[in-house]
Amino acid sequence: MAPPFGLQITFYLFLAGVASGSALVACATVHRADARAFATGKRCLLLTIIAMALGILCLISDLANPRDFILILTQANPHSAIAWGARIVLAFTLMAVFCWSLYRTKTRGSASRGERLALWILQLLALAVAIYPGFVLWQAEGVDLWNRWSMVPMLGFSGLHAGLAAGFLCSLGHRTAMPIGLLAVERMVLAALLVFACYFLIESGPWHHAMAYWALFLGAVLPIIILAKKPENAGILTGCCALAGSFLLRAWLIQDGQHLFF
Amino acid sequence: MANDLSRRDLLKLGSGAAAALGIGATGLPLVKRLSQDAPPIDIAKLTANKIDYTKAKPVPTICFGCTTHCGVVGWVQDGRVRRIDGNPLDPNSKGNICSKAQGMISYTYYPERLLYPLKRVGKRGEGKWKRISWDGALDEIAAKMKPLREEGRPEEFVFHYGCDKTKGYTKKFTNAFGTPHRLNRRSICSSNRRAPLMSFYGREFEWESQDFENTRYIVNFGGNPMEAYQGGLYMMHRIQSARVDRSARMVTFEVRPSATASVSDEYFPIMPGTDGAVAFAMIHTILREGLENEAFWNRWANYPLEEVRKLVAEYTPQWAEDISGVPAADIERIAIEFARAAPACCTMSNRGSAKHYNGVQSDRAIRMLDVLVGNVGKLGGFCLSSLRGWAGRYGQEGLPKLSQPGPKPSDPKPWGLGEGYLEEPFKKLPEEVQERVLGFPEKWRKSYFGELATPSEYPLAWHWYQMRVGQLVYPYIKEGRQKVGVYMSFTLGASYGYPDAREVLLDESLIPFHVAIDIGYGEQTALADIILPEATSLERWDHHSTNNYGLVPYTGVRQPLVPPSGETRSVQIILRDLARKIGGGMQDYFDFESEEDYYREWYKNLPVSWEEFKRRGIWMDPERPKDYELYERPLTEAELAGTEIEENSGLVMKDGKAVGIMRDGIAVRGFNTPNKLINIYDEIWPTAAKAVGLPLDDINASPIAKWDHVPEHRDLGENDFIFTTFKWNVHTQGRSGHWKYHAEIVHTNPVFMHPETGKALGLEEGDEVQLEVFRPKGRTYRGGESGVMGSFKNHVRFLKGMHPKVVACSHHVGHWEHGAVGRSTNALTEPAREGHAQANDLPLQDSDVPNRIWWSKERGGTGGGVAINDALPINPCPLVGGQNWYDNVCRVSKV
Amino acid sequence: MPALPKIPWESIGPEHRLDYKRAFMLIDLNRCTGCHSCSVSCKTEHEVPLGNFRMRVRYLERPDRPTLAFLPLLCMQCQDAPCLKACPTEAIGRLDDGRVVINDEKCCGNKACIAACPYGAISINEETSKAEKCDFCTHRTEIGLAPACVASCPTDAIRFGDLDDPQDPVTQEAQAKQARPFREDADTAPSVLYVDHERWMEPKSNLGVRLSPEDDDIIYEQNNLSSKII
Repeated sequence: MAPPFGLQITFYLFLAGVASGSALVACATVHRADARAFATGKRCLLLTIIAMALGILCLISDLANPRDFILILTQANPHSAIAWGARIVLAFTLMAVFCWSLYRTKTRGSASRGERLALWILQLLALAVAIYPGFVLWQAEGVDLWNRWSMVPMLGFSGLHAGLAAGFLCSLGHRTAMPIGLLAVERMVLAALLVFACYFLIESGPWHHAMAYWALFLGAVLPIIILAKKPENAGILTGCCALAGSFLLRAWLIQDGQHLFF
Repeated sequence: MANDLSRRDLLKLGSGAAAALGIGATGLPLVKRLSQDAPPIDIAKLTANKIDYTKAKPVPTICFGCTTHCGVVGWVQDGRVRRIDGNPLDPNSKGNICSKAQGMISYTYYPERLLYPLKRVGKRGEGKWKRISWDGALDEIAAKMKPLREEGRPEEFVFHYGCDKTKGYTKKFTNAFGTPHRLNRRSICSSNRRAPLMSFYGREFEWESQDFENTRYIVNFGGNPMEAYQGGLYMMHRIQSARVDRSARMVTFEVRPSATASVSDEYFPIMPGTDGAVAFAMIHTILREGLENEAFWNRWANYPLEEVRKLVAEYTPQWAEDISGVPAADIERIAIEFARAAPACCTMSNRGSAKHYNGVQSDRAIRMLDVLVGNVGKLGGFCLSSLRGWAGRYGQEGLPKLSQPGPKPSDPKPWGLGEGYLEEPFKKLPEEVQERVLGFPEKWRKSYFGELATPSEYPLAWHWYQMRVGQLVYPYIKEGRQKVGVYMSFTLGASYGYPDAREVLLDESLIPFHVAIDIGYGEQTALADIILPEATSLERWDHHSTNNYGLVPYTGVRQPLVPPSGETRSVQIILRDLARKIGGGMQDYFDFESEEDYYREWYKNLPVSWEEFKRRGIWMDPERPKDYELYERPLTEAELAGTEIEENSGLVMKDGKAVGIMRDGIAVRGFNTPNKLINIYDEIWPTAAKAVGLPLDDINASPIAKWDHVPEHRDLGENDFIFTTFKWNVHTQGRSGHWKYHAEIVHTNPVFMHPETGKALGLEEGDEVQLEVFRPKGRTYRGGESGVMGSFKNHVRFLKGMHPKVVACSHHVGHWEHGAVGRSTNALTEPAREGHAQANDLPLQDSDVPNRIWWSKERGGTGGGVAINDALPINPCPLVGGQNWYDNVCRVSKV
Repeated sequence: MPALPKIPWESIGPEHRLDYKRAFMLIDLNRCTGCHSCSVSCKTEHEVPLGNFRMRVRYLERPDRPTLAFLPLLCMQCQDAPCLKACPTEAIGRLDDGRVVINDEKCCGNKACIAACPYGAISINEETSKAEKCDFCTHRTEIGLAPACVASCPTDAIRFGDLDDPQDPVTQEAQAKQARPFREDADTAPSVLYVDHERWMEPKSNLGVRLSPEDDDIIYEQNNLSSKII
């Protein structure tokens, strides 16, 4: 009678998004000469690891049989999005730990060939972590709300957006730490999020949308307004809004989506 | 859902492109294999913990999930009954079962089943008990019962049962003791419909067996065999098969979208209490169109067709539409279709038409329809087949005689004055009662046994046999019409389901000593002084025979699948041991040790061995012809010997009794009535009316079926509604509330009403309402009083199929006892803890109870239903005494 | 004395195994009376805990007539099963006759299958903490007994047959009456076919009973009214 997925999955989706975007920020900053960028990068790597560790705990505790979690790694159904996801998550987390270990003792950024390769791999895995949850939900043919292709870009961009915001927060307000390219990426991600989220909400039909609209407002619209107004702590404000919005969106997807199912 | 097409198209497009890239339909890169190439499964592991039917022992028995009693097979593995299947050898049920069969497993193995005798400590009804031994319990009961017998007042022992299927065993006990008080619940259920049948066809045929297998057209007045109805399952599978495989049609008049109405080919909401009007209009139409079977009527009906024409002259379809709400054109059409399908057509009716002030007469009109088109006893028609026991009764010729073994105690003497009567108990009756009884015709005086068994105000409740008026038992005890010394309940839920019961049961001056025999701690056992835990139907023996809708008499046996749990004992053993303790000659009637031997003796005349019979569970003579047209069977040489023919009537008389009738020069058996005809016209109604002072213009006094309104339905206000109760198919009466799988499906009883009705009352679905029921009018118990009888609060639900003037709640739920499941809570019942399973008692552990009762209020569910019985008035139909459940007028208001 | 009929329940065993190429169920909605014999029988057979259902009978108000429709629902044993595809641990497999079965040993309870099933046929068994669904009563069919629901239906509304056997009377009836599955849009090729299933039933063809006012159920009113009553 109770819906299968609970708060743990909501948290996991949020944490995974944060980790993926934050890893992207890390990849763009940790090898830079600028001291603040380097510091930001290290914090982002740490954030990635902590977020993934917490996320993995959430995933395991959500299982009906947590003690058998290892089965997900020892058995492999190539059709299953979760099977792929589990391996992506594991690879990503291990890669993040590896990258962090590379830069842990350093005092400033460096970009040797080996390090650059590691960061590239981390980036790819970060994108994979951001994208695959959408596939997991898309594979849920029993939940009309989730069973749409637009779940992939919406959830993906939403996760990246939140993660980038978290990464920016790691810069502790020093915008100089952020490479211009990354800021541009952030704008594009925000725009894409708005587009796909609107498409998703409209196409998904007359569900109870209030929470979703709040999520969208908080996570995407409000940041735009804030950035346009350019107040003092624009960066921190938009960052917090993005995070809140991202969490709210996932809470709505998991709760409402399943209410309609069960 | 509308978006699916566009999504599919996109998916197709996408997957087309994706396929080109080697990406599968889920968007994941890979494999061409579909889920057909799936991981292998080890079947041995898969089936490891399931029932192993090759090891489990199949034992046929008789179901006790309701009163229909289908033949079933129980599978026993490791000493535990795991599943109930139908017994295909049962010619009635043909291997079919309903959900309630599995209920037997639920009630045999639930954690709060009573396994030990209990004695109350503290006040009665306080809920404090201590465990005692069987010997101690029986000694105490015998000590209370002996003096009654020894001091010549055995009638003060009252045995009150709810569901007694021992087929005469308990009667042996009460007769041996000398009390006439074996009280039942027939009137709570079906007396009103049995009386018309017995009047028409004789005492033997108080229940019909329509030939549904072969019928082409069924007109159903409020019957609901898909969910309830005595014999419902036997009817259900035949009706559905006839409808789906052989295009039979069923038309239903109902007040709610019951399961039967829902599968019917046509459903007409009908104003309650107006079925008779529709039936009369159908008769009118059939006669108008000349579709009656005049030959059959003239041959067998005891009332001239001309008189019927006069009777129904005014009962036109338009007249019936104004009364009932059923469109006149449809009434006409249905009447014509019905008559044209004859003889392969039949009527069906049960409580829906009969539980009204005018219900008895409505049913007499409905029954007239079958006689009018001549389908009685014909293929696909309204047939009559042997009902009970095999003692060589009408229609049982050639069947092996089956009877209870051992000496048979005689029936107690009737109460009255003079030779052959018991004067002492008679003189204790109120003056008014004595006068009435002394004015009765002799036949009635010879069958009068006091007010509880044979209430003098309701002679037709016991004219054919003791149907009694169960709902008056407690009021009569309260009024002092009968003193009670020892009161014994057996499988009875009166405290839950009878109006006014609790007040009397709690009063120790009225009920000095109450012994309850039951399987669980229910509302009735909670008010006892001693509780004797009974073995369930899976743990005991019973004889079984009932009418076969396949029209060939058959018999079955209920046999134990497992030994009784804990210290429970079958009622047979309980009464035997009690008889032995009481002594004084009683023990002679219970001289057996093994129950199996007792039943082996019962069935000794069967042409199969006992072992073979137990193996099959059912016996029927496979060559015996079906019971069509039993009445046309010519009398045999032997039967004709020594008979005389009465000139006027054509009756074939032997020793002053009619054994047959001459029809067209041939002596045939005729119907099992005194005049061997179908009694459309019966003087017994006005006779009874005169005997009790019922005015002859009351509808219930009419010798011929008659139409009149239910008194309280005249001048119904806009805000007055008819309150009806009904039964669900997953429950049975008041004893299934604790069957966990069934309670899971239905545990609430909202007030159902038509959405327009709700709108007019300003209600939304789910709103809480107060429902007040008014006292009945008419010449019934306390019928002169006005005002509100009682009320209850409940929530409403809308159903388009409800009649706009009807609101309905179901029976079965709203228990305040019957354990955690019955009460819909997550806490085990405290009071009877000492009677429950102890640590080593297998196999009553059940992890579902009480923690997984998900519908409890504690877990955020709706909780259980609402007990509604206290709001319903005692309302016995004049003369017959059937409880008129469906007349209640009520008001509904938002809370 | 003429011979008495054979005793059917004495002919079971591995030699009577139901050997189907493509097992399927035919549910005739014209015969069903909503008695719940199937669903309660299933619960008893598999000792399903309260709160879980392998099979359910829904009571739905018809849009066209003032009566109820009864809809028995269970795992549709899809030929292209989304649950089988979604399960990461390969805990869902298939038997030779095509039925889809959960292998308890490999189930860790991630509930991907529950979310993947368009019919809501899977749930987590609280007792075992594993996913659970109908398996066409393998322990019965292996010894020649029909699945519990089929055996207990009093009106033959549910029957079991071999879709690949043109001689099978159940298959012939399915073809003659043009039995169709629910949610054909989901493209899962179900093996449970319904006779006279109607379009308006489509959104309600799930065991889970949705918490949506449009998705009313007369008998499991718990789900629909919980928001109002509690």
